[in-house]
Amino acid sequence: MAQIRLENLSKYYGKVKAVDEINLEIMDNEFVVFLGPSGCGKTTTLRCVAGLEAVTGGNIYFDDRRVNDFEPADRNIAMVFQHYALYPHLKVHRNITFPLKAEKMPLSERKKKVKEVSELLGIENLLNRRISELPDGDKQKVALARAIVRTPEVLLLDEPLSALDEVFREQMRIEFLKIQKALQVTTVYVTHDQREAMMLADKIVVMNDGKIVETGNPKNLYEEPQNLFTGYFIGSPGMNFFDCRIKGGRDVVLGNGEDISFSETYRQKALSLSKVDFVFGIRPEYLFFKEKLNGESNYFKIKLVNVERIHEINYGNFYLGDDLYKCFVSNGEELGGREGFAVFNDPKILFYDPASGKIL
Amino acid sequence: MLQLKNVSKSFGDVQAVSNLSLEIQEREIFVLLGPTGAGKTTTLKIAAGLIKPDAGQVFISEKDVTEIPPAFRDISFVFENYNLFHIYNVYDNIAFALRSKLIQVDESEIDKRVRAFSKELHIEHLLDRLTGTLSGGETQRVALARALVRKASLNLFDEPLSNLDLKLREELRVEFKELHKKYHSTIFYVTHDHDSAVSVADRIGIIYGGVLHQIDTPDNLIENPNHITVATLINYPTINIIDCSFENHSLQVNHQMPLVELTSLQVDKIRSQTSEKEIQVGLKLKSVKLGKAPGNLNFSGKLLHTEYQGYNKVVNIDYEGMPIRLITNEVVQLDYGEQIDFNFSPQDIFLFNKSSGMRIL
Repeated sequence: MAQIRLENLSKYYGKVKAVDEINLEIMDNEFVVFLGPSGCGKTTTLRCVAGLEAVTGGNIYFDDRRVNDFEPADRNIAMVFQHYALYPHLKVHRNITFPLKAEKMPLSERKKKVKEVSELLGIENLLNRRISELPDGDKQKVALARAIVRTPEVLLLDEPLSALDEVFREQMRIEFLKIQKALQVTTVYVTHDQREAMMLADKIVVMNDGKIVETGNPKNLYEEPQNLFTGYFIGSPGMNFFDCRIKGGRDVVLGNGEDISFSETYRQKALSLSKVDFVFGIRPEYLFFKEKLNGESNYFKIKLVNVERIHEINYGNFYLGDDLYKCFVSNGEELGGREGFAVFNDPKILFYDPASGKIL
Repeated sequence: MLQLKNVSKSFGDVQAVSNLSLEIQEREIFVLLGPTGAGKTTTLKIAAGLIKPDAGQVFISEKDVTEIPPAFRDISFVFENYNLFHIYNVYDNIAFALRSKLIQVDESEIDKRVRAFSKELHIEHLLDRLTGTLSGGETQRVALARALVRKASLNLFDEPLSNLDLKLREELRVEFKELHKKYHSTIFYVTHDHDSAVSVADRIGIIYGGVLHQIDTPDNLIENPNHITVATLINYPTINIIDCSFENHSLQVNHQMPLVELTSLQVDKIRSQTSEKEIQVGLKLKSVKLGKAPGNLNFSGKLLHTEYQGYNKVVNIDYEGMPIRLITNEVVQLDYGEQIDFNFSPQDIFLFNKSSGMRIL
């Protein structure tokens, strides 16, 4: 158990600012996920926390110890990588006890430990198998068992599931969750997969270009992203963002010049937030396709390209300019090609500043 | 259009594809879905003529092409790694196959087609660029244009969208469907990506361990899987699988907790299919409901975690050490470890033979 605090942490490679002055607090026992596209700095940050990279600037604290100058071995951390890093020719139990032997733990105690973690992970029956004989999902379980067998204060996981197929990934996520809750260990998990982040995290740290874009729990990041990037990156499908312009200081039109109708309250709100332009964001589930209006005041005209059925939900696809958007449709595929209206529910609209990407 | 008849292929000791048969209709998008190593790419390469099957036959347009080399099969192929020529610009890459001696197309027709397809795929502005300088999404579009421009009678696609990020994949899926509607090409598409498969496919074949388990529309596979692998792979989030033992007219968890009392009809059905006691119960996430419901089977577990997957939330429950998941759009106001009630209808369960994986009920 440990709190982690990053204070103005930076890591440069030559002129490239891989991590650029980030500040973050991670609570005791918290499951924190660093999420972002490749090159955003998430793995570099993790490696700094692990002590595998020397920092360029700033401080890393575990509780109130400044660990900048601690060797990885002295930080009481355990790490799991995408590519397992197991000893393929050794049996499972010898892989798991490896770190304990290094600590010269007596055999009886080692046996007890191995029994505990292998039961926790449901790999008791694999202990005498060789790593090379195991399927990938089981290999990753062994890697995880080896990581937690020393009861580290901090568990660091770097894209541990990206080498697995989706179906194994889903099963492993459930395992991670169970184990993290059972062990109560501060966990930092790096991924580019937003589903994984949404499933596992107590707190998600969204990163882009070496900086933290936004931090929050999955629910808040989904419902009310404070930044266009977060809305785009979180959720599958992602959030719809529509460019809007204010014409003659009074009327709101879409970026392509087409009309959009806002209720009076929302028009006033938009006008009070911006004088020139703004972006309004809405999740597909709050935007409905209707062929005929029925007294709604928030809508704009669209033409559906097609209807896509994903996870047993029907999404209508439509374009404005070159950009693709999604809305909910009630019926099935026959709606493809139909013209109508995208109607939205008031409370779920969010307004953003197109220049900074921040919520207004 | 394409027919594979009892094809098999092994590499050394590994049986990559075993006794696989399928038939793809004209103008259909047929997707072969399965995890890495399932035999998807091998099957596709057999259809292309890039791999010769150990046994079985390949027919294209009712003609036996088993012995015919790829160049003479009137097919186009998009590989996972694109295989573009980086020394050529985009235009010449797209035009490449049309300039082959085997296809007699004159330059003005080539120009017309290259421009038409680049317009469709939004790459007109890139025609002069070298392909090595393109982004992932652009490269993918060029590869698609190069395949489609040939208007071959059969298009073979190996994971065409897998290397793209999620948002690009969502966009290309839609364009892909639109292009298909317009040009009516016949497409054989292999992928491990569930969402791409259900989104683009007319029909899906589920393959695992070299065995093709079932072919049907996405909805029918979800409603009526014939094998546990099908149920696992076609549902996202994946189905709950509960190991049970069949004892005294009931299915029990951990040999003690009754999960389901069976009707005599169900008992007879199980007995007629297997003498084993080990049964796996498959339960879709949407079949499990929160709270108690009269008439349903009611249980109580501990809340592990709620996943905020967007519109739907996936609730993870620990029931007697076994994970049970359900999907809901209600908000769950409970904390970790608190008691949570759930229920399901005995009508909604699937029963699978544990050793063979075959569906019993």
